[in-house]
Amino acid sequence: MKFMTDKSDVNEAEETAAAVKRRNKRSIAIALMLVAFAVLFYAITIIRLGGDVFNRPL
Amino acid sequence: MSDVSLNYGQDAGHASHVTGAITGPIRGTQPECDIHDGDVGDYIQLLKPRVMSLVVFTSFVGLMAAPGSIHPFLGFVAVLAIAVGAGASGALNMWYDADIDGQMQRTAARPIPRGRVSPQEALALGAVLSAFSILVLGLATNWLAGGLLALTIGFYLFVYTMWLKRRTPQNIVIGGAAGSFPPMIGWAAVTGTVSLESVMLFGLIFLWTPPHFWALSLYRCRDYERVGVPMLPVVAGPDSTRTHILIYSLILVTFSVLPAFIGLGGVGYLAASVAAGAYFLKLAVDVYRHRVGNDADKRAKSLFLYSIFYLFFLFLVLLVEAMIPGAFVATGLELKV
Repeated sequence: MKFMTDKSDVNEAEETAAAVKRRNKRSIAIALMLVAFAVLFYAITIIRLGGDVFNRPL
Repeated sequence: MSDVSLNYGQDAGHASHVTGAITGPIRGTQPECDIHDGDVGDYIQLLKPRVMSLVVFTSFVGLMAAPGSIHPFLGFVAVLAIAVGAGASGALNMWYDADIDGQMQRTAARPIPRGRVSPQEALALGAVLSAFSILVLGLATNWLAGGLLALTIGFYLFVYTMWLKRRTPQNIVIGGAAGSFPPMIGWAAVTGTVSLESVMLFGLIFLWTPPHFWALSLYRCRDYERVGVPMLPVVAGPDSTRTHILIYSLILVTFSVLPAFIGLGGVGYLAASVAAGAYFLKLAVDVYRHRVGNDADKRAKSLFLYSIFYLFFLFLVLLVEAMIPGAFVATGLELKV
């Protein structure tokens, strides 16, 4: 009986570890997407404004 | 044509019968999915990558064929935004159709029926990506393009998925408009207008959609029947569907040569559209004539697969003529519009 409990504990731990790994991957993917979005916005702004980026009173 | 009209009359009656019990998603039948345990790949699957690839290609052709120029990076962003917008509408479609997807062989392996992603997550992903893609496209190019993308997503979700799909066998005829917008959006991203040429590109995909999907539904008929989606073979029968495929193929092939008469396509496009169209018609006639057993399924499958190549090929020729200097040779048949 003890063996069974140990086995189920091991399975549960493995499942939890796998779930945590998947969640980490999702978090990294979301973070990368947000960074890409910010870079995209920055690049679009620079390209759309062109030389006017520097044309402002200091 | 009277044959078609008669069938449509029958369709309407059958459709109301078939869909009588299905007026929206059966939320109770969806898998309970409290465990949000999907991998990144599952979320990518929600975006229907294969559909996205066709959207990327056709929008790119629209962008390149349009007169005028666009900064290469903004052109890249435009295609990216259109693709993400299409992916977002795919996620929204999977959210709404989760109840029937699980019962169809073709869609049973999608992330929601498999319990990898919850419907709420699909809805959130679709909504967020829709908003982002429209915003990015509008800011990077112009708001006509952004508006057309919003219209595409809205049309696919509200008109096709929610309204037409479970109610009428005309679902993919009218709903096909959603898949036809990408080249028009690409064109609008460069020119800021909707012109006859971009309407022509729209029309090409719009007329291509019915024979393409009806060929698929001929050999996937049982799937649709099981879940009560009134595809044409389910409500009007396979024979009527074959007649429809033939008629729509004739209209498509005739329409497909028109770009050569308004200066959108050159001699190369004219030759390609005539040759590829002739083979399309040959396969449609095969589907019409072979109606029994495995042979019938095989002919329908051949037409379905060829139709993908056909659309890709016509757009490829337009792209080559637009991109490679000297590839475009005017037909001399251009009509004054």
